[in-house]
Amino acid sequence: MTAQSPANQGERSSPAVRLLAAAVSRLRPVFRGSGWARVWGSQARQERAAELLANAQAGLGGISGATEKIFLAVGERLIDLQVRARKIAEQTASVASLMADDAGALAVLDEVLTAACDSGRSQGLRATIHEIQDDAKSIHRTIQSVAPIVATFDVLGVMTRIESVRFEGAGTTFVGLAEAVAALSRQIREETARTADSAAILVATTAQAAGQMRDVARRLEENLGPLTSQASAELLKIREHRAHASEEGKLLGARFDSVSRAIGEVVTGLQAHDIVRQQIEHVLEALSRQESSGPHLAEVARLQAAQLDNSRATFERSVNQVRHALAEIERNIAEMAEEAAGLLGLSGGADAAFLSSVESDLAGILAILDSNRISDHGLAEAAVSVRQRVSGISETVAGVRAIGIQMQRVALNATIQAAQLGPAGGALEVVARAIQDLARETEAAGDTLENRLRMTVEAARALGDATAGRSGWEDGMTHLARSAEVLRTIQDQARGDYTRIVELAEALTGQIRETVEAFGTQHECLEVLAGAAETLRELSAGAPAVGEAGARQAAWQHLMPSRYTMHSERRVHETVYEAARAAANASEVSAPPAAQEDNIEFF
Amino acid sequence: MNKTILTVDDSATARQMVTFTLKGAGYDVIEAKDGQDALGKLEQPLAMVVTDLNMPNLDGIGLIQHLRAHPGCKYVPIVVLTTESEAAKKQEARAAGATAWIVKPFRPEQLVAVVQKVLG
Repeated sequence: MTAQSPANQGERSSPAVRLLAAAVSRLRPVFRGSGWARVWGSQARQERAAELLANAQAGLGGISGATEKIFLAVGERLIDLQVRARKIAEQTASVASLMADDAGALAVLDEVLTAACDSGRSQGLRATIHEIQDDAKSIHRTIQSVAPIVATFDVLGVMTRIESVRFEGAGTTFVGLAEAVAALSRQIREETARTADSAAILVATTAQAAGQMRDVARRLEENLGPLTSQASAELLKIREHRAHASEEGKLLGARFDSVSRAIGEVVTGLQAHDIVRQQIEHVLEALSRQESSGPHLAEVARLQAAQLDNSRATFERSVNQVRHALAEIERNIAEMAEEAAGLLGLSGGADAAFLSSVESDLAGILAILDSNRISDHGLAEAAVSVRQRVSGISETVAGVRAIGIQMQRVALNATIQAAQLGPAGGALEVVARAIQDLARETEAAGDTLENRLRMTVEAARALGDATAGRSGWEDGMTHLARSAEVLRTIQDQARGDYTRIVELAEALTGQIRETVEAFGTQHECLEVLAGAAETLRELSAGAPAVGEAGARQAAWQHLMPSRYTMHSERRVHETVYEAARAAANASEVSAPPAAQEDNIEFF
Repeated sequence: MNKTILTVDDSATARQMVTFTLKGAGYDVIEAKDGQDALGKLEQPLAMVVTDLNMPNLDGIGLIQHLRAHPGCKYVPIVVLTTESEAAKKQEARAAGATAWIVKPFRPEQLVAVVQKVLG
């Protein structure tokens, strides 16, 4: 605010300012009466001196009350200002705290996404299922290889029965042997039929599991991978924005510190009113003890003029201090608002877009993970089914092995009987050898089946374990959903906090501007002080030389009432006396030494 | 519960700044415009008194003497906050029972530091 003349202040200024303006207008004619000094020593001197003293006192007397109202008004606003600045600081701290939570949520999201992207586990599952598939096919092939054995047994059964009929006339029959071969043939057919069914189901089950696994792998490769990569990249960007926001948050904190320091400057500056008020009171007190014709009037007036110059300098310095501090507060608050608005743009704009994109990606990831979870259940069921089928096949393989033993026994009987027949039993011997060969083949098939079944059991167990491990995804998915929710909540809260900071800062900036406007430059007060000092200097213009020891001693005595001990005043007096002493080259009178100005002292 | 501090000063601006500073530091503050006014505000327990020296009706030295004679204020810390810095004045305040002396103008952190130190 620029200084305004009393005339154009009248319409909109406060009563206090109007009072000051009146004081100035009273003093002005006096200041302009420069010719009055020429009458010093005349009869009119006393009247003129009396008039000047009265005017100076009237002008100075009006300052204290008038300026106090303005200073108090600024003080009142300072309280509100500090409360608002604190609220801004609290909001800033709240945002900083949210940022810390945000970082945690982002880290969880990242971990879950990384786990979801783990393609190694899927590849392992696919390999296991392929192993089971191979085993199942092998089992199926082995069982099919038993079919020729059955056919051969049928032939052997027929041959045995023919041989039995041929030797019937000789009193020898192989009916028992023929029946045994036929029974073995039936048993083998039944067992292999059952095993073949189980093996077929096993093959179908593993084929289905392989199909599911292919689907899972395809989804992982086609959807989940790119989605998680995209989500991870966007999370990284959000994290970068958060880091930027965190730095900005620190800057906001530093600005609040600057505001606090500036508020302290205002507090210090506003106290000048009290100091200057006391100085003016002392000047008034000194003047009130003077008579217009008193012998020390000129010397006292000279000292008080110096005091008023000092008061004016103190007052002007403090006013500038207050105005500068208020401007500093306004600047910091405005920058806080700007920075918060920038952060708000970050949160409400680009960052929000990132978050929306991440949310969308996360939803896609969750859907794929859920779908994979269903596939996992299917795989787990397939693993159970494989184990069940393998168990069934194992039982039939045990039956086949038992048949093999029986075949060995039948072959032995046939060999014995062929030996009893001598050369005539050649055909039977052929049958016996054939049965022995079939028994060996059956045993070999049993070995192959057992081996494959063992491998299948192991692979099925691995599949079961792997799908059980994949159920950990469900926890990850829950984490994922929760983290996304936390992220969204934090984002909303931060946005709200930034908005409040901007609102508070804007309101505060406006309030500070009003305060600076109301405080003004205190030009009128400074003018009164300057005018009063000038008047007093004119009063002292015709005084005896201050170098005269008697005059100075007497004047000093007048200036030493009990309350006259303010450091600043003594300094003024001392300066004046030192100057006078230098001028008079005299050293017999000096002001009392000023005490060291200890700002704080504990008793 | 916040500690209560009585600030005594004939300057409304000075009272305002002391109150502003101490309330900002978490204290409750009662204001009195001079020593006489202060003596009428001793009904509640005070943690500390911050008083000016030059005041009408009853000045700071007189107030300190009254407070030290008052049973409830005998040991209450009294900080003198004044524009004066003369050694003789300080000695007078010390003899009357003042605890500490701060020359105006004060910076807020100075006043708070003194209060915190005195109140422990």
